[in-house]
Amino acid sequence: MTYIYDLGNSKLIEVEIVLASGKMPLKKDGWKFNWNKLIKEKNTKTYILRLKDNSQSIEGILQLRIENDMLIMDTIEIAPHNFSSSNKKFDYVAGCLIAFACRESFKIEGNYKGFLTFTSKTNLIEWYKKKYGATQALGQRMYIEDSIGLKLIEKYLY
Amino acid sequence: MNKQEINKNKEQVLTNRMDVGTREFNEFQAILLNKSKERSNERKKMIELMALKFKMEDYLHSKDKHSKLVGDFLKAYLNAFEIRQNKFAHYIGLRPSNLTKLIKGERSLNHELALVFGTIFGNDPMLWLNIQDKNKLYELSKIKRKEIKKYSLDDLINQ
Repeated sequence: MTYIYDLGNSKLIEVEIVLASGKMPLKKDGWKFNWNKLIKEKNTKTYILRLKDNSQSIEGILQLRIENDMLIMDTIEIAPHNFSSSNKKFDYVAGCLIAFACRESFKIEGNYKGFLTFTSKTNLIEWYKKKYGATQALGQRMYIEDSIGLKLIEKYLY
Repeated sequence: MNKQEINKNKEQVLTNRMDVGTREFNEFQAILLNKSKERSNERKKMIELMALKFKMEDYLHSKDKHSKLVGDFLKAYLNAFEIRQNKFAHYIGLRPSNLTKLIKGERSLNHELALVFGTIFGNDPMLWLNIQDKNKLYELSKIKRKEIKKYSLDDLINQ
């Protein structure tokens, strides 16, 4: 079972990560991407993290893409109410989504099984290294290898 | 997880979209390919085992009904490690014909075999049994829908 941390009530809340379908959150509600457009992109799968008992509440969105047999965490966006440290509602949203992406990386076929790849924002490179054990391979391109991925899966998803 | 691990990131979008087909992308992929080739056989085996375990878990928790038999997963394990069915049958003390029946879903997986599979493939024996139960329940609910619908708690109380 997967949980995120409710900072206001200091308790863990059960969530689920499911394939996105139907209406996605909008820019006017504070989201940065036009997810209704993004989910239609070819060769991608978009997942939402939502509260288990409230399918209306999207706490984070993840888009994965397979390119040349490699799994890419192309976009990961945290809900507007979950990223600012001053009024942040839930924690562990990013951790759960990244761990989920790591888990997906095991299910692909080919040489890159178990590698989750992504391009970090410049200012997040150290954060990814420190918090999620990611390795900087080339410029902003990073990856999380299988053994670290399994630790994240254990920590955030089970 | 504990409260001290509060996410200190202040970004809402955590990645840049990866440009592909560029020289840098190819270099990046080459780095990963080398990393992949450096993996020991033991590590490759572990990755394969985890991949199959995750696929079984996904099927169990999906709304997918009866599309995969326990035998399909067993075949996937045997294929992944290039183990012939006859060899496997002999190893676990089963007649090859009975293994074939099990793979086709004509014979049920018993608890002892679930324990054996769990031990060999390093997963929870319940995973095998739960998948079988999921499929069986679905089949039964289809076949016996009318018979089963007649039962209710109110009916029982008012008897």
